[in-house]
Formats: sequence, structure tokens, C-alpha cells
Amino acid sequence: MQMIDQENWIATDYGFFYAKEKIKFIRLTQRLFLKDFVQTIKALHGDQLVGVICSSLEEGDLKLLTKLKISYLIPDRELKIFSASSSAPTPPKTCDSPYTNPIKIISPTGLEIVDVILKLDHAERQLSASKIASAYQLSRSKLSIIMTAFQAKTIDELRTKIFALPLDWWPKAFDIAICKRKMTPFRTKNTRRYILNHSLSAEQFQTKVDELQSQHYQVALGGLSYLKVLHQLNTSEFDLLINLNHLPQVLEYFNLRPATNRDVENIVYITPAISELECEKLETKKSLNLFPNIKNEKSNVRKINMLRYLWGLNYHEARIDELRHSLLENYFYALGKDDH
Amino acid sequence: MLLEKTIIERWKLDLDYCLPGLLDAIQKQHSLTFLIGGCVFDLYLMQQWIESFSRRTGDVDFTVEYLGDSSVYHIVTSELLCAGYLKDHCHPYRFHPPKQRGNYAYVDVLAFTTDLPLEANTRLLMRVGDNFNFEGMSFAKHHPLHLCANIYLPNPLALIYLKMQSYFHAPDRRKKDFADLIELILRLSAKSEILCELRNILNSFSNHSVRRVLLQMCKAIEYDHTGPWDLDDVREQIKERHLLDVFTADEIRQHFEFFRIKVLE
Repeated sequence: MQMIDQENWIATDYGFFYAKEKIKFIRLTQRLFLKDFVQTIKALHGDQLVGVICSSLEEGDLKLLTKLKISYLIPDRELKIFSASSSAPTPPKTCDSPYTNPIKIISPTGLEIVDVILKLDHAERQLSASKIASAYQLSRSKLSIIMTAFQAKTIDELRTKIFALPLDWWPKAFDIAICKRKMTPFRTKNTRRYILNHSLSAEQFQTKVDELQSQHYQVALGGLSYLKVLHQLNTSEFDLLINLNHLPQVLEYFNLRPATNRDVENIVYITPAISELECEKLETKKSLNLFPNIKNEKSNVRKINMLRYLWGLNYHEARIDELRHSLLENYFYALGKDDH
Repeated sequence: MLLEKTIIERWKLDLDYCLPGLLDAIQKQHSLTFLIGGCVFDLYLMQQWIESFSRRTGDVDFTVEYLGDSSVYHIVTSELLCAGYLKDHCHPYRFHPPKQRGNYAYVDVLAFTTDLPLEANTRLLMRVGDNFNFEGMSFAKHHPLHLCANIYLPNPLALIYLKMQSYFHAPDRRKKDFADLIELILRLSAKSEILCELRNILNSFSNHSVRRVLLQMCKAIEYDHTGPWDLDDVREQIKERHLLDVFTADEIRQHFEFFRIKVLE
């Protein structure tokens, strides 16, 4: 960048440090992140003066930054410095933002709503919140709470703001203790370990789950099984989330027996849900084929709310954490690519 | 539910090697006679109903049904004495073979009754104390496994019930029986092949108290309750059998849950 000199500008891992005014210029990869960045300046940096480096800032962004007296650098275009002598920037009122209270969206109904909002097509985004809630049988009150938390006036604005959340916000929000109420993760202290008497492929396992569901038994794929059906994981383990009252039928149908620590293959983990399976909101209200490249993606798998499943992947294994991150990325990319 | 013929024949040969003439002595009378005690596990192992069992026994126990005629018992004991067996000095029901060889060192010849008024006489016959317990033999008679002639052994569920009753009536002296039934349930659940048949046996038994008691015991262990079926009371026996090397505490509870679901409910 021709606008900076080596004497005053020190390259860092976050961007540059402007030594003359002691301002940390933080590089933003997208202007979409600007508003959230602005909201968290105080929390993350305290009294340290902070600026923004971003090549795609637009006029509205510059007005905001100027209003807040936040320095900015558009490489090879513009540099604006607000020194310490300028009046201190006041971050906008955050009041109950998803940053301070991720429970607003990390809950059974919250994730159900977020999943639908992200999947809305252009025409649907122009509809009112009431119409969307009615069309997809979403909780109107919860949708209203989420819109307030994001300070979104329209569905379209809400969708944009949800997309603007940094990708690494999601796993951190998933892991916050308060977000663990009301939903059952796929591995709990009550998880039982069984072994299949005859090995099954992922598709055969899925078929058996579908058959049990068609007989109105409360059984659902667990996180590992879901990853296997998506061909993201190659392991001989499966898991299920069930209503404990239906355990006898599940044991019978899958021909399971209890596993010991010497059994390592064809393991099935069964986790009892904390309530009725319907309350877990495992299914999406708007099915989409998110992964057209994956072969044999069965229609029942499309009914799964992927965000809810990604929340439940609490296996604390490095390979699963990586997959969770990768699938989150793919999820947001698949749903947002038509916007660009 | 049947014992395989080849297994019966093999076992009879083994028994005859260790305790010659014993089966003949028993068959000289016609009363129902049960093989009980630790050697029953040997047969379960041979049948591959369980994969292994930690405790090995060195003796054989038979119990003859007493219906009022004491000659059925005396015939067996007399025949053993004629065959050269020696009566034990301390235990009047115990007989040692003329030559010790093989796995089984001696035989205990006991008696049982399912008729309450005959219990006192039955104990007198064996010359045992008043706390000798006959509970569970009605259930054992319900669906016994046939060995040969008038000789039977209890099915696994009946054996579990017999050991429950034995432990319940003398918990200080019969910890071994509680540990036996815990291990048997764990091993049966781990293999899981005959659980369906055990369920059918229980379903066909008219006395519902057996199911109720078995359920109470299973749930007490599943939920780790204190009370008469507290695993902590036999922690030492379980450790000695190295059961905790094979089954974690959670796995023990899970196996008992599985047994309850598959057999008792």
C-alpha cells in the first residue's frame, strides 16, 4: 500500500499498528462484518484506539465510521485518521445483541427460525415477519425476539445480519453453557453403547431409522450417523437420539446388544432425549438440497435442520470439530451464494 | 430351550470320570433330581450361552425332590457308599469319590421340596440347619433343562432366581450367590442369544411374584439404589472376578437394563 510509510506503520498479524497515533488498524475481509466489528470494539479492545482496513468499504460505511470517529484505511484509496484528541467513539447501543446473549438464537426454536430465514428465496424475503412465521409455522414471538436482538426491521435485513455473524461465532455460541438447555446433544452422560449383531452401511442404517419413524417411533439419526450419511465421516460407529420409552423397539429392530470396552466395531450409541423428540426441533421447516454433489442424499436427510445437528456435535474430538467447522462454512456458503 | 445331546454326552463322560457311578446312583430312584451349584455354569459355557464365567467350581451339587418318601434320598446315598464313596465327617450330605481325579472333587447330595409342610423333614433328611432355603425351586421346576432320565438342571433364569433367594435369605454368608447372578446376567446380556427364550419361560409362569422380584432387583442395580441389591455389598467379590476389567460401572447398568427390557418387561 503506497499510503503507508514504514516508519509509522508496523505490520502485525491483525493488520497494521499506526505508531504515531497508537491506533490498531484491523483488517476486515468483508464490509459485511463492519457493523458487528463496530459493536464489539469496546468489549474486545477497551480504551485502545482501533481502526479498520477494508478495501470494499462503501459510502454508507464511511459515514458510519466518521460518525463514530473510527479511523479507516481503504488501501490505495483513502486514509482517515481520528486521533486521540478527537472525541471518543461511542459504539452503538448493543442491548441484548446475539453477542451478549446467544441464547436468543441457540435454542430449539431459535435454530429452527434461523435455518428457515437463511433458506428464504428473494421473493419470500420481501414478505413480512408475520407472513413468514405463518407460512412456515414458526413461533411469531420468537421471530420477533430475534429480529429485535439483531435490530432488524425486515426479514431481509435479519437474513443479512445473520449472514454477517463471523463463522467462528457459531461454535463458540454452541458451546456456551446456557445454550445447552432444552436441547439434547448427541453424547450425554446417559448415552448407552451397543453393538450391532450384523454390520450395516450408513444407507441401511438410515433406512432402518426411516422405517421406525414411519411406525411413529421417536427415533432420529445422531450426529455421527448424519455425518456418515453425508459421506463426511468414515467410521464403523453410528448413533441415535431416541425417546427412552422406545428403547425396546430400537434394540429389537436394530438387533443390538450391550457393548463392552473390548468391542470397537459396529458400535451404536443411543442417547435418550431429555423430552419428546418433537421438542428437539431436529427437522427443518424448509427442506432444501444443500449438497447436490453428495450421492444418495435421501429425502429424509434433507428434512434435517443442519444447524441443529451441528449444535449437537459435542463429541470433543478434533476430527468432528473440524467437520463441524467445515460444514458450517458449506452451509452458509450454500445458502448465501445466490446473493453474490 | 434344550441342551444339545452332544454336550450332554460329553458332560456325562466328564462327570463319570471324576465321580464314577454318581449318575447311576441318582437314576436308581425316580424322584426329580436337579443339578445345582457352580457346575451348572460349566454346562451353560458348553452350550455357549455365555462366553465365559470367572468362577470355577470343584464340586457337584445334586438335589433330590422329597415328596414324603425319604427312601428316594437314602437310595442315592446308599448307592454312593456301595460304590466306595466316603461320607464327609463335617457335612453329612457330602461324599468323596474313592479316587480323586478330574475337575470335581466331591458331590453334595441335597434334598428339596416345594411343599411347605415338608420343609422341616427335608432339612432333617439332609441334616442341615433351619436356615437352609428352598425358595425358587417351584420356578426351577417350571421349565427345567433335561440332562438324562430323572436328572435336570435349572434354566438360566431359574438359576438367577435361585441365587437371588439364597442371597436374600442369608446376605452375610451368600455373597458369592449375589456375585454369581450379577455375572450371569452380564454374560447372558453380552451374548444375548437366549434372552428371547428366557422371556417366554417367564411369560408362561403363572406366579407373577417371580417377575416382580426380578424386576425389583434389576432396577435396583440399574439405578444404583441402596437396599438388598446394592452392588457395593459385593464389590470385593466382583473385583476378585475381574468383572470390572470387562464391564465398567455404566456398562453393568446398561447390561442390566438390557436384560430387564429383553426378558422381564
